[in-house]
Amino acid sequence: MISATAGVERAMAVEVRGLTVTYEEAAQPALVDVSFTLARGQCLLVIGPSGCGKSTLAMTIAGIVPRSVEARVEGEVRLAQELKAPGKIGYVFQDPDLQFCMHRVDDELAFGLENLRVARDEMPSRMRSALAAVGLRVGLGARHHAFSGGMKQKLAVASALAMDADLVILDEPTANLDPDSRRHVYDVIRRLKEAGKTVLVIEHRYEPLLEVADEVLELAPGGRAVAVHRPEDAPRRAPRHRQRGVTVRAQDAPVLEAHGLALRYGHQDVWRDVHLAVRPGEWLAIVGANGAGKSSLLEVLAGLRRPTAGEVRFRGEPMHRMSAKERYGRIAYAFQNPEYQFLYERVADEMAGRVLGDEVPDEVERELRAYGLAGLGHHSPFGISQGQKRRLAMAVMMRQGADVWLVDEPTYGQDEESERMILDRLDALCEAGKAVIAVTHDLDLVRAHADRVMVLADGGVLYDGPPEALLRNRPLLRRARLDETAPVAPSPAQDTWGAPGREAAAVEMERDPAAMPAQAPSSARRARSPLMRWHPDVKAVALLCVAAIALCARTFAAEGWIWALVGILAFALGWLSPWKLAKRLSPLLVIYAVYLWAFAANAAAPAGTHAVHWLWFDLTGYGFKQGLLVVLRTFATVVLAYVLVATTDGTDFMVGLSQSFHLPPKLSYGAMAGTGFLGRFQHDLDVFRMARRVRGREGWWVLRPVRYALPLLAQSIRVSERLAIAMEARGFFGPPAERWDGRTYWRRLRLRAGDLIAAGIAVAAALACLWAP
Amino acid sequence: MSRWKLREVILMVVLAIVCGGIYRVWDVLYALIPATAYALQGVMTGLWMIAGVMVPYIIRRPGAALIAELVAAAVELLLGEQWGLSNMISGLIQGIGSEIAFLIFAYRVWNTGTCALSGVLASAAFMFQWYFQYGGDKLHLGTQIAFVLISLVSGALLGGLLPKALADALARTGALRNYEIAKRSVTSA
Repeated sequence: MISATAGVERAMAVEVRGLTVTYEEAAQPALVDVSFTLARGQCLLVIGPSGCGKSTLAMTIAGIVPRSVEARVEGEVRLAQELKAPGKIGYVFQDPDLQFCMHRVDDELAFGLENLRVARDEMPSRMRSALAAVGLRVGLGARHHAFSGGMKQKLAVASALAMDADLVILDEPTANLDPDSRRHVYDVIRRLKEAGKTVLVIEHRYEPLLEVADEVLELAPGGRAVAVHRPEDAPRRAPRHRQRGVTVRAQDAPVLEAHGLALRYGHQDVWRDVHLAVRPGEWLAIVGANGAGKSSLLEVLAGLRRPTAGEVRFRGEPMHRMSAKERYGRIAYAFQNPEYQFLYERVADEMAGRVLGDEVPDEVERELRAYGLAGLGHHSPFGISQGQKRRLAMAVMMRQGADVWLVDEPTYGQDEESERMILDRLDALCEAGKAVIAVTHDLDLVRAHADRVMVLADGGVLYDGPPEALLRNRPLLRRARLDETAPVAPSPAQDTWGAPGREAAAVEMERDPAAMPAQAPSSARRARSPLMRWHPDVKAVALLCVAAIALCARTFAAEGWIWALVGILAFALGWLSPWKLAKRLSPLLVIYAVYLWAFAANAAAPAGTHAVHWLWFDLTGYGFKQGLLVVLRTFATVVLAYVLVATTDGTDFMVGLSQSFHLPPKLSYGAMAGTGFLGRFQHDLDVFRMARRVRGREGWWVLRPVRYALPLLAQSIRVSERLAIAMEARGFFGPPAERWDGRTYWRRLRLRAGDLIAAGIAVAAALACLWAP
Repeated sequence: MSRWKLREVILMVVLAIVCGGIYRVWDVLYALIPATAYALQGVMTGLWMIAGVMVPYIIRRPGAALIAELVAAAVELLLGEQWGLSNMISGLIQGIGSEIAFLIFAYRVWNTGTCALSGVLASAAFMFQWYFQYGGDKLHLGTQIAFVLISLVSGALLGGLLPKALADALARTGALRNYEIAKRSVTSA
């Protein structure tokens, strides 16, 4: 491996000469005068502190800068001839959730192939061999939102390989992953090298990669290249050492206790039989794989989520009997996303807990400096770096003087310096007799800081005791899926359509037990109703027209006919189950009953109409009749909506807009990518609501939707930017994005004459209903 | 429409999803207020127009108001609102209303006035649906007039000024640096 540089002269894949990159509106360049070469088939590891331009370098090589992210680029990046064609450079991003734009594995792999205009017949074989190459055993019809982080990263690499990438760039691919997922990513990097691909990988915790890397490029703060090392000479990160002595005394009464806790979602046990007691001065770490329910446990301990069974006590008092104000005066809770906890528009206001004038008082400035936030007083809390946000949230919580600190992933998204500051503060809290409970993936942190560690796995507590004993117990770590050095099982070459592989059982099901990988696409197996075979876009427009016509019905006769038409659509053509439909729509009947009442009481009845006086209402038969007409026509559109949603595949709908109606793919596929956010939204909203409760500012309920908006919007903007960059990195620019015929299509949606005739008949039938006797 | 940047398309959809979520919360609140409290219903009307102002105000492209309001309505539908496809029709006509306000000024003027006008026109468009479909025509004339006036004011405030204020607050955080709102307006620090 080492002899590679000394031995045979290898062909150059990438040559970077004097590269300087400056982002628009930035005072300093992100990258200054960087030069190096990367030989074909080699693996280059890029290291350096956060913000030193590692990603900028990778994105410039891939062409994302300046194509998708505007910047001034000086110097040159010379690529080997074979890397210049589209798709030859694959890019895997840090956040596994923010690089996909479709929902199913096959659509996802096909997206890149469509951009390259690969013929449809060729796609299945390329998809299968790409999945096999990364060792991902899932069906092509599986839905990837239920995958673990490691599986998602494998899928991202597979997407690049399907496009026949020769250079694969991985930008901190393991930063968001648990140890089990991390080893899958290391495995895939090894496979890439064995397959002769050139690899550039950026990594913060890079030690496990030194075995695979051929060279290590080190960047320094300010964006200068320091040196190119051989892997064995690369600087090792200083191991964390334990600095705090024993601060917990066995004779102290526990400050927080839990007995027989259990949590279920639906029919799924998340965990059960959880007992714990934390004493003053104690640091308890909770570890476990993704989906083990660690965050949920922390939420239960904070009284933010109700357990299915058991009780949490704070100093002997049942948590649920304390008022929220009392509770969150004594308990501090740090969420993974610190933004959710901010209430003010400026950093200084946030720190002071009130709106300050233009002058920042000295004591506030001092506090800012103590947390490494000097000079940022006038900035927006949403506009500072991830590490700065975390420290600000931490500083704000310090003010409240809580006895128990619950921290979700204290090192998530932090650079080394920021990490050290936060961990030191938590250590200091323990020394001051406070208790800390931290959820983490970082076993190093557990070793250096925790007094006790609890392992959540297999629906319960697998281990509870001193960290050293756990870290020595390899079999236990492996069972809890915490061992990042465990070998990855070799994958069989054959991949079956639609059959979820063994790994799929390990998917994260914590939030959504129903989110199992999907079956084979319905088109392949089940008989489809006429409505399902109808072109989705034509159907949507036709049903919308029927609904609009239904709204014009003014008589009972007309409404009767409309309802007959709706019935035919739903049951004769849509093959829907009447029982399911009734079950789904029955809650709405209450609302409609109230409407009916409102009309009976308020309609402007002609003079002399008989009215029944009851309480303070005058109910008229005339009003009831008018109300019934309103309710009948509106409810008909509710059933139509149900019919449309139940018989339409969202992806077909979007793809059809381009394929059949020639909308620029940028709009349809862009919208498709945005909808991936819908699933996350509910979860984000839940967490956000908890965060507000912890800060004691949930707000008056009427204003809540408004107060919620700003942090959620800031988050959505970041999401959209990353999604757009990830899509463009997969070749979605130029003709494949601009013109409907600039790409091929994996999903085939044919617009037939029959589709249009059916639409005509439906609309004509609805019109006829209006004039029917 | 092919001049749109990809990130603008995705931002539009993502913001419309957030708005759709807010609409759904508002739907629930609406179902909780007494159905005979027409004044209160009118006060609430404007909030259902926010997507039609916030999105075009940020990305400043023709068609943005209409599409954003339609997508928000579709999201609301998928989240299970109580009006079925009638809601999509609301989204369509309110979106057209919002769009007209910006169209009148040839997509050149983006200030408090045009945003408020956009909210008012969206609200006004909905008044037709309210009158013909939701039985507004069956109510007393006094109730009708009061409802329409209150709804229009709500359209201007909740539907026009509120989303503008939100977008401005968002721009102040620096999150919108790459969008038209930050490029065109002269922000005072």
